[in-house]
Amino acid sequence: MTNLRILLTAAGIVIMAWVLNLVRRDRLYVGYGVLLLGSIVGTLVAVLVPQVLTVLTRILGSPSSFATFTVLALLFVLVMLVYILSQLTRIINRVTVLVQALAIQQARRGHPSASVPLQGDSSASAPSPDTSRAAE
Amino acid sequence: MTRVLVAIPTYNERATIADVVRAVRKSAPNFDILVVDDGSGDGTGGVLQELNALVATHLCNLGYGRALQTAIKYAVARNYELLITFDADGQHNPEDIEPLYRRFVEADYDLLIGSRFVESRNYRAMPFARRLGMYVFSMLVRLLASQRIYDTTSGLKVIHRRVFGMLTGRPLVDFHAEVIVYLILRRYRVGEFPITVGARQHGASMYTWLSSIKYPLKISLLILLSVIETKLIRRHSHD
Repeated sequence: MTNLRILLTAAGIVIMAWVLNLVRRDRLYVGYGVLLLGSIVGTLVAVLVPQVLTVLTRILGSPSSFATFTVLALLFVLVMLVYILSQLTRIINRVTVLVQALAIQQARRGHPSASVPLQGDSSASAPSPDTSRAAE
Repeated sequence: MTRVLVAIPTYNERATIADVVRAVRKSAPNFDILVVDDGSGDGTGGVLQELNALVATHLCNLGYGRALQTAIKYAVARNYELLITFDADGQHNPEDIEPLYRRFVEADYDLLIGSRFVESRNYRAMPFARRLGMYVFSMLVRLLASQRIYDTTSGLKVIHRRVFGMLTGRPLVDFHAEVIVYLILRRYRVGEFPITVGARQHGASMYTWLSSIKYPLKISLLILLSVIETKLIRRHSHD
C-alpha cells in the first residue's frame, strides 16, 4: 500500500469518527451524517480497490481512471451543492417565519419596539405564520 | 395521583383530529392531553381551537420526532410522571390507553410499546416493503440488544419520566428502533403490550417512497452510534 493510500485511509477514518461524534451530539443532522459517511466510504473504496475504478472507466468509456474519478467527484459535488443550498433556503424560510411571527406577536401586545423596523435583508419570502394558540 | 400527559403529534390531520381528541378525552378522562401541531397547513389549527384543546404549535414543520420532543419538553416543564404518545390519524384505539397504562405501572417499565405484532408474531397484513423493514429492524434489535421487539414503529407508547432527559438530549429520527436499542443497551426496561390498530381512513402517511431509502439508513446510523456509545461507556466504567 502506498503512503498516499495510507494517508487517505487514515484521514477517512478520522473524518468518519468526527462525523459520528457530531451526529451523536446532535450537531449534525443524522441524514447529512449518512450522506457524508457514504461519500467517505465510496471514496475509500475507489482509493483502496483500484479495480472498481477500472470497471467504471470501462463502462463509462473514460480515457483514464483518474478522469472517471474526477468526473464522478465533480458530479457528486454539484448534486451536494444543490441539495445543501435547498436546505439553506429552507432554513432561511423558517427563520423568516419565526421572525415575522415574533414581530406580529409584539405588535399585537402593543410593545413599544413594534414601531422599530427590522434590521437586515427583508427580501426572503415565506408563508404567513400560523396564528393558533400555543400551549402555556 | 400520577400525572399523565397524552401527547398527540399531528400534521395535516384535519379530518381526524377532532374525533381522536374527543375519543381520548372520553377513554382517559384523568389524563391531560397535549396536541402538538407540527406546522399543519390544512386548517388543523382551526379545528383544534374549536375543540378548546391544549395545543403546542410549531410555526413550521419539524417532523414527527421533533414534535414528540416538544411534547416531552412540555412534560418535563410541567412535571408529568408519564407521557403517552398517540397517533392523530385515527388508527389507534383510545380504549387501549387504559390497559397499556395499567400494565406499564404494574411491571414498572421505562418504555412500553403498544404492539400490533407481539401476539401474532407476523407482519402479513403490511405491504411488502414495510414488512421487510419491520422484520429487519426487529431482528436487528434482537441481535444488538438481546431482546426481540416485534413492533419497532408503533406510535402508541408509554414513557416514564426517567427517560425524558435522554430523549430530548440526543438525535432521534421517529422514536423507533433507534430509541429502543439505545434504552435497552442502557439497561432500561422496555416491553410490548398488544393493541389493535385500524386502517388509515383519511390523509396520507408521513412515509413516502423516498422515506423507504432514507429511513433505514438514518435509523441504522443512530443504532450504530448507540452501540458504540454504550460499549465505550461500559469500557470506561470498567477501567
